[in-house]
Amino acid sequence: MLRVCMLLSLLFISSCASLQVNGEARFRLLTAGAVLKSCSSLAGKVVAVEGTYMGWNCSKECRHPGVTRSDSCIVDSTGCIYISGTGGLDPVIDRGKRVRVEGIVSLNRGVCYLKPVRVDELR
Amino acid sequence: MKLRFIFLFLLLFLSACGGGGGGDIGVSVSGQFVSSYVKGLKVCDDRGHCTYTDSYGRFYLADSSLPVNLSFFVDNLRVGSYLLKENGEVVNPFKIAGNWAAGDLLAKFIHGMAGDVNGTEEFIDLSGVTVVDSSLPEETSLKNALSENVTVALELRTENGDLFSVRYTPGEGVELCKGDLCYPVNYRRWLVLVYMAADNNLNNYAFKDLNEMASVNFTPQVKLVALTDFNTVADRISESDEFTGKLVSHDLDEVNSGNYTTLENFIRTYYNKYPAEKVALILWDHGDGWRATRMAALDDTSNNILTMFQLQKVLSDLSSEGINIDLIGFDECLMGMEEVLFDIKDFSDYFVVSEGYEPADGWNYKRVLTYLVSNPGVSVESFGRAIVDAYRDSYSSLDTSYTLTLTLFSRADVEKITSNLETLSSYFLDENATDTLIGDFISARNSAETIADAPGYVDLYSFALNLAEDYVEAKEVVETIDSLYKVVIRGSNDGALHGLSIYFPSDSKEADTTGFDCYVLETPGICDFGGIEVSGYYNPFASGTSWDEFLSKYLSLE
Repeated sequence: MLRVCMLLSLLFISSCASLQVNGEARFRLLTAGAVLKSCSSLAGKVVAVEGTYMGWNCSKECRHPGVTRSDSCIVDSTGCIYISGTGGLDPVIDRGKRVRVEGIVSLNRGVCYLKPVRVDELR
Repeated sequence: MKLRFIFLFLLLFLSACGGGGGGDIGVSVSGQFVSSYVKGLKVCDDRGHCTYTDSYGRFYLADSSLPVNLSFFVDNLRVGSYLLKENGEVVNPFKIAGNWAAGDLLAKFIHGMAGDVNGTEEFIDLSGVTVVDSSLPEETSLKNALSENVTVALELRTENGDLFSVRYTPGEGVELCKGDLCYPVNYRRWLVLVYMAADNNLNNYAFKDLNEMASVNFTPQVKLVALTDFNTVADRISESDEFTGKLVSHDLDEVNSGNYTTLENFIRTYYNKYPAEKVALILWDHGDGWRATRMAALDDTSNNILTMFQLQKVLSDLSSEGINIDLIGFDECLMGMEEVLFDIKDFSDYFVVSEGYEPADGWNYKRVLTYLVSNPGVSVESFGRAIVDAYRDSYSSLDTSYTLTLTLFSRADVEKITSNLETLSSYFLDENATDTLIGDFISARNSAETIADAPGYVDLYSFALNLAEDYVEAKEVVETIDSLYKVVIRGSNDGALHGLSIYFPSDSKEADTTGFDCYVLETPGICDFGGIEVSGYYNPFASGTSWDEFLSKYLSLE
């Protein structure tokens, strides 16, 4: 039983790798799906999600949080999550770029999204 | 004695109850005639009982019961009939006519007979009007003649004895003539056109806003037409109905709202179909300022975008056809930008725009349109203020991280700001500009407020304020923006905005990533917006001002 727990812990840790930013803080690097799945418990925490910036070309299943008319989304292999506003990206020009979004996990009208703190293009 | 008393009591009771439903003796019907409030209209039922409308168009007929067929008269001229089905029901020219075209003509005749050629009076009085002569055959109502689209001429006399005529000639409209002078008669006060480009991730918010519009009880004096390009259901056209006051929608084949010809055809079609004294155009979508790459339309299905030069072309083409718009509003983010206003300033008198981001819910259409329906005689400026007020009421208590603004500009405001900005640019561009002057501008830019998440978008007020002490033109920019009617709700993570931005990248790196190469295109060329190539692209603001030269010099100083 102990072994199973250890194995599960190891798996959890590996899927939630931490990220060093500016040599100061560590953010949990999560997938979009993981953020959406655990939104309530993550609410208020800063996480990082890497994915493709889709601008406003978000799938119909991707729920719009309604913070602004310019809210945009990122997708990875596990799902799609909105960020409030554009995070300084251009929803048309930057569409399709690989980005890392560090943001505060937030809820608006029951919809989970990231309030971007920092957005970096991944090259 | 007791028996007699009971009998008398029962008699009194029965008579007070109108006969207990055994007949219509004592029963009354009531209604209201609205084409604005019309006083002095004679209202008769089929049994010859008549009354006159009061100052609010209200009428009461005793000894009638519902439903009742009512005839309406001006003096002895029969206007038309209507079957009143419930008490308090509002009757209007459209209901009497039974179709829109004849209803519109009938409304114009009614206003023309009252001398109200613009159809703008809240209240009209027909009680002193006498019909001296009429071209109508006997027993033919005005409504029937107008429905048959034949020439109608009425000779009339006012209470003061002045003679005048109201005429309709097919193809020429309704005219009021006094002596040799004739004036066209208009009726509808407002046409509100809403172009909802929601074939994108704002689809659900378009539904919400349409529902807000549908909650309004419209009158014929305010006509709303909304074109909605959805991405989940069939596109649709929604119109307020003159007969029911409700919004009625019809499905359309797929619309490409990103194509400027769609916008042009939409405006032209409904402007011509529903002539009105004042016209408001509201563009609904994502917005992003000078490029407006998403402005007014990012159409996911067609992958089209509508740019500012295309919007300018649409408005210019329509203007040359005599189609003029009184107020243009953007229910979109970031369109409160000097460039945007410059591009469209020649095609409208007033503009309502948001400098910052808008909440996804956008404008409160229920409040905005209810205000207009309740106050159809308001000026364009007052309507613009009402839009701003509704925004304030909706969002003043919102805990927002973005600064929300909504501002009303007049064309004169835009021209004044532009003129001052041009002079400031000329100082900077002067080859003899001193280091002090150059330093002033750099310093002003560096300490100006910016819009969060919108690189290169600078609050023009704060930039000008930094120069206001030394440059009178900057002071005038500050004073003009200060005087605007607006709402500002400061966001926790955003700049202190004042209602108007301008594109002003901080350095060449920011310029490179924000489309500066397209910004400086003064003549038609090719611009690539994230893989979407727009041919014939140019920036009208760069073409019409020296701000692009200003920026080029500024960026070269690094």
